[in-house]
Amino acid sequence: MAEEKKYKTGKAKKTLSVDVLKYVSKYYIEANRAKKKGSKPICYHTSLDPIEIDYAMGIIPMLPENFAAICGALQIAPDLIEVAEQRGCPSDLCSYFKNHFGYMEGGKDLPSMKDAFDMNLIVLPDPDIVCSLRNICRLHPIWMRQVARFYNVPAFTMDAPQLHPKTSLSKIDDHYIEFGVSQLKDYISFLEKHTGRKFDMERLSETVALSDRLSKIFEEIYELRKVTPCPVGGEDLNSLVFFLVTEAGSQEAVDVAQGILDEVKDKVRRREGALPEGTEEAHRVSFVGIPPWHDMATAFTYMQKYGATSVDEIYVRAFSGFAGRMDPSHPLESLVRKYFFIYPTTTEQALRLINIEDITGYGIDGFICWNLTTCRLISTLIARLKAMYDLFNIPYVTCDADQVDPRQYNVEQVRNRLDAFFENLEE
Amino acid sequence: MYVAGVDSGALTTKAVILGDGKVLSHEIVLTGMGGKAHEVVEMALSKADLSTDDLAFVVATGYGRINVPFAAKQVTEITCHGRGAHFLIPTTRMIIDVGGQDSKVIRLNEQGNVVDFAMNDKCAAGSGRFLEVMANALEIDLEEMGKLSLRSKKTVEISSTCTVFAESEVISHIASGIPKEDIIAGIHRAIASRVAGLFFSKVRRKVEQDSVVMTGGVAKNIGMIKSLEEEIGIRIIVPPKPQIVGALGAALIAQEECFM
Ligand code: SF4
Repeated sequence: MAEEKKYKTGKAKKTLSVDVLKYVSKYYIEANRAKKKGSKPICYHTSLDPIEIDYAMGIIPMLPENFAAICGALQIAPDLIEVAEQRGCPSDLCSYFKNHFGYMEGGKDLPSMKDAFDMNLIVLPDPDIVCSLRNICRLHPIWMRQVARFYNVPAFTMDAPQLHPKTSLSKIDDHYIEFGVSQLKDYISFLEKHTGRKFDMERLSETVALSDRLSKIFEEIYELRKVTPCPVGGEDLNSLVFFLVTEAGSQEAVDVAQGILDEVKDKVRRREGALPEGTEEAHRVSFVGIPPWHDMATAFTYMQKYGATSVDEIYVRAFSGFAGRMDPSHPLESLVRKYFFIYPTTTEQALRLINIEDITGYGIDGFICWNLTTCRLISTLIARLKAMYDLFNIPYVTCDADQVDPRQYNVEQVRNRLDAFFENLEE
Repeated sequence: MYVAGVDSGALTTKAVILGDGKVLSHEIVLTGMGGKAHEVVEMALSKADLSTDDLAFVVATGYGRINVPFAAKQVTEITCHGRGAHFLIPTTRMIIDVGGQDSKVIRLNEQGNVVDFAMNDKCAAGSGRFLEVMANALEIDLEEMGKLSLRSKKTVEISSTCTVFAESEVISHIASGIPKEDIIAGIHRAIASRVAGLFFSKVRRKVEQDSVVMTGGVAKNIGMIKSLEEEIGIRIIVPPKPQIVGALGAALIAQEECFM
């Protein structure tokens, strides 16, 4: 008999018909099958790496961060994190990293893993190579180096330059782009050398076109969420991030996203909102931060009792909408623009993230900021955002949590803050 | 018409009975010592020669508010402290409440409505729990801390912001023979500086005299008030029974509900 879970699962109620977990499982099963047969190499990545190149070369990108989010949602992250801590990781180190580190260091064989993954359906196949682009988080390349040492596989790190604060994203100096392109070319040589696969620029143009189409569909979904009632809530958008993070460049992601877009359009036509039937949309909020995957019910469903719904999430938009259109006839340059110049490396992107005007189109009443104990990147972003909200007198509330570690979380305290926030919005 | 407000906190449960807009009685009982919400309300009612049948509406607040089945409405402490403080001191614009789990700073408008609030992060430093842990380490009663600290000649520095680390710091200060009053003054300053950070994050314009009010049980600690006043640079007003401000606010909301 399965042991009772130490932490209660908090699943949010979804409003779209798409079964994301089905696609996630399929992705992992296919990756494991390919690994077994040796038909396709597996490359581990950190998030916001140019995985379109992998797709163009028939390599399967796997993201331990995505894996951590799944473990968080399935409530097994704490067990893996405990293994990592027993191996010497401090409690305030990134829990995404510790989830994976614990998995590598023996957590994979824990009984809770076997139960939770329902006969091992979601198992991370071992990597053949690893890669990281130093664009958003300083931990990323270090993480991949650890993985490379553990599995004794080749590692590649790309560097993203820090743009001058005054640089505009529409006028990035050529030398920055050239540097990025040279990094991508080195990455391609690395892949060719270690996988024996040949790179084809035409194929890359195709995957870049697919990736662009995917981003465009998400932008359209976000545009449609500006209507009242909002047709789809943040609980759905956050789980859809899987396609943006792991499948940018694949046909499947575009097909699924197109189906979702059609469903959302249909809901708008029928004036069907994300809230349960009979609940009027009284408040529209913007969700800031990586969601606490272990308690999506508190993050999203709890606010429904106030007639509130999340209509905007910068975490999801950061993966789709900020890059601008990609040009498949210049695939490498497009990838550099998409991946090298994002929030931590540019001032303009940071400003766009916190651009209140960008956000006011959604008719937002306030912001719910999820300050993440073990994610420095999000915590620093939130500090900056709060100063901006104060300046514009926009209501916000801060909830302290962690992306996957429920031990760093007090649900009563968080719900109390949400109650106070909505009570005062109502006043 | 009679209404009640009940504040179910981790440490104490408080009840206030209002009759025609006036406070008729109140009661404060340790939550762990039979301080069940309905018993506390009944105690307060009997002081006013009333019974539960006389109550037209009950509002519950505090962390335990959802476990008060006889309350018709649940409201957070933020709103209730705002309402209660403004009723007692109409000039209130900023409220400081150092609670057991959370420290809060609440900003009000002229009507007494909450316009903004901030709470400490999830760490216990800067909360009432921090004080409790330190009182234990010093082997003194929580209530004694305030008066003792006023005798301090030289406040010691408590540099840790983590409760557990700060506790070991306190123990090492005791071991090195530093007088308790100096350690307590240091503890107060450590909390005050964290609360002041919250306070200034919510200050919008010049803070007027008589506009800052402290509520909650910690407001009875005179040493804490002194440290906070030093940190924020303005006099803090403490209502006569600061612990019941939340319950009072709940009762005032109950009264409004009756007129709605
Ligand atoms: S610290 Fe934050 S940004 Fe960095 S890997 Fe962890 S979750 Fe991602």
